Amino acid sequence: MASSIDIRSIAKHFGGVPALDDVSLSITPGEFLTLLGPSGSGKTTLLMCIAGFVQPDAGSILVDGNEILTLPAHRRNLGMVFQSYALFPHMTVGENVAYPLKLRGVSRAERERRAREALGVVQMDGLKDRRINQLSGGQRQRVAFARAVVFEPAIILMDEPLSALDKRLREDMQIELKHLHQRLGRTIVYVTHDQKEALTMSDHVAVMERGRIMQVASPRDIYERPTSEFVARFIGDAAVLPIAVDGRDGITVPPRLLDGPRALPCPALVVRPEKVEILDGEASHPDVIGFDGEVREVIYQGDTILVFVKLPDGQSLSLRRGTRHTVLKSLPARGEKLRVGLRMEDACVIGVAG
Amino acid sequence: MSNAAIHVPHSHRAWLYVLVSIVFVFLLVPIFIVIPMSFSDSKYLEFPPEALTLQWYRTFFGSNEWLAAARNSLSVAAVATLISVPVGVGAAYALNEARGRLFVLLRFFLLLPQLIPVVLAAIGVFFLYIRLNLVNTFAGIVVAHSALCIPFVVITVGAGLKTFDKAQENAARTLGASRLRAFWDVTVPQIRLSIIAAVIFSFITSFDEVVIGLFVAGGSNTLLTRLMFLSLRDQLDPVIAAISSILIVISVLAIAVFVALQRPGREAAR
Ligand SMILES: Nc1ncnc2c1ncn2[C@@H]1O[C@H](COP(=O)(O)OP(=O)(O)O)[C@@H](O)[C@H]1O
Ligand SMILES: [Mg+2]
Repeated sequence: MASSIDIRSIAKHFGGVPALDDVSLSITPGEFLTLLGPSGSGKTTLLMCIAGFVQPDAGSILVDGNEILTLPAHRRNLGMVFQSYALFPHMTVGENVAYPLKLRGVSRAERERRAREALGVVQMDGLKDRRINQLSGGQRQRVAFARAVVFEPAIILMDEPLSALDKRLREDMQIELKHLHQRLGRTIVYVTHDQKEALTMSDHVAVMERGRIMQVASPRDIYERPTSEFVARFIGDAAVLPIAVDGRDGITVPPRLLDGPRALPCPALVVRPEKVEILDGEASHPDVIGFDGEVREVIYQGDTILVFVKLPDGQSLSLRRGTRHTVLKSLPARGEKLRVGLRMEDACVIGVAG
Repeated sequence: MSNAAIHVPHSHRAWLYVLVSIVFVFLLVPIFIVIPMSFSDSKYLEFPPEALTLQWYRTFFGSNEWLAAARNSLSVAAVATLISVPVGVGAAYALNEARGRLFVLLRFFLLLPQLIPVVLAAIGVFFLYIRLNLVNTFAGIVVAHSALCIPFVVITVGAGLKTFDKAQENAARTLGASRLRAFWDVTVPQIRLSIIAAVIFSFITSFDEVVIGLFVAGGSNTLLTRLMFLSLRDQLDPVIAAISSILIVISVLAIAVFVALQRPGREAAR
């Protein structure tokens, strides 16, 4: 049912500018993998290489061990959902969904049955005679999905399929697509530039920057254990603070934290705002990295409140708290001195450039 | 932007109404002078007519010479349309896909037949056809007319393709359609209005063409426009007004059909 995808050393240049630079990625059968990265990082290009609309300069893409780069797009048997949905406005909803079956020579009755079934999966079976221009954005999204799965492709590709929807609907659809994935069990390669969306939906996230894959990991590891400054800063908020080793400037951390990354040339600490605690007058604890600072700004954001803390060496970090009454009451005001800390379990050390 | 958002008082737009009226008068008056003239019982072109008759229409439909010329014009226009529309659609599609300076040049070449003065083209075609033995042949006139029609097809279909979402064609391909099938099933139905416009333009361009026809479409392949031109020179015969009136009615009908096809109501009802 589901297929594996092996992407090996794919490179693609557009007029000398690299859009993909030695990209390798393994996707297991039934996995939901998200390509996440800023705009222009090469996500669409990589997806188009899989789909067959962009021919890479080098490399190979294997599906279940078979090379697909030699196949034309229409022989790859992939379901794809486009950012614009790309529904055919001259066909009804039902005709759109039945189209891939028609191309495969499926009989009319069977076509209608399977189209109805696919529309049922996305709760759109009542609207099969509608025209596309009579549908809302969310409905179009569902029809596009039904059309991409009705011929039972082993792999589904999606390029920012939710980006045209408003926030509420987008969040609902994220959960819905995740459930559809669990139910259908197909391999999904999903593209987004929205980190929260990637974390919500995926089994694995591949973070891309400038045509390269920076890190592939589970949502939890990609957030808690980034391996580079780019990933740490691109996903969530993070302060990246140089660590003092061998007489260099920076913050002091317990030596135990450096056991693993001791080989790093310039280690730095990734500090996530929600993991920072306020230490009021406690004696220093061996498992807590402490920082003395001064409150520079307090920003109320509704669900959370953000406190920017300036450290003596001029760097800053922030801490985030939920806006319960007790929290709001106890928070320091701007200009006050403050001691904050990060538990060793919440600390992540990366190597930074220079 | 809603219409209400920019309200300019009618008095401020008076000059526009005047201008548009003048344009209309200049465009329409000559056309609507011709129709009454075709019913005049005078032997010469005369306006306004003193008495009415259908004589000139009878003359036209009773004359083998006129009817043969009309048949020639119709078949040349039909074949030139059959050639120029597929070629022009293909060219417009390719130009829409392609990037780069070479294709800008190619586009320019395709439009060239409509950019150079038609007399020059006619002289060039004439001398070329003498060498190729194509003067006064059906094939010769069809090829020359196709060259004149292709620029219109490239422009109208190119404009249609600009507003077409390319992702739809790609979607069809991921769903299992070959490129050609995707083009036929998805792209063509959506640019069909531009294709219909291209068909109408091509047909009229060829049917209406005088200059090249004067040079290379004589003998048994004489076209209607050539015969009209020649008879206009020899005698100012109201038959010409009758033919012109028929042509005007046909053109108006063609445009009416096109406008009716364009109405959004039909789109949804289809
Ligand atoms: N057809 C193309 N021609 C030229 N450059 C392209 C083309 N497609 C993509 N690029 C370039 O490749 C880079 C990656 O683009 P893309 O894959 O669309 O990024 P993303 O989807 O991550 O935003 C960009 O710099 C983009 O300008
Ligand atoms: Mg993209």
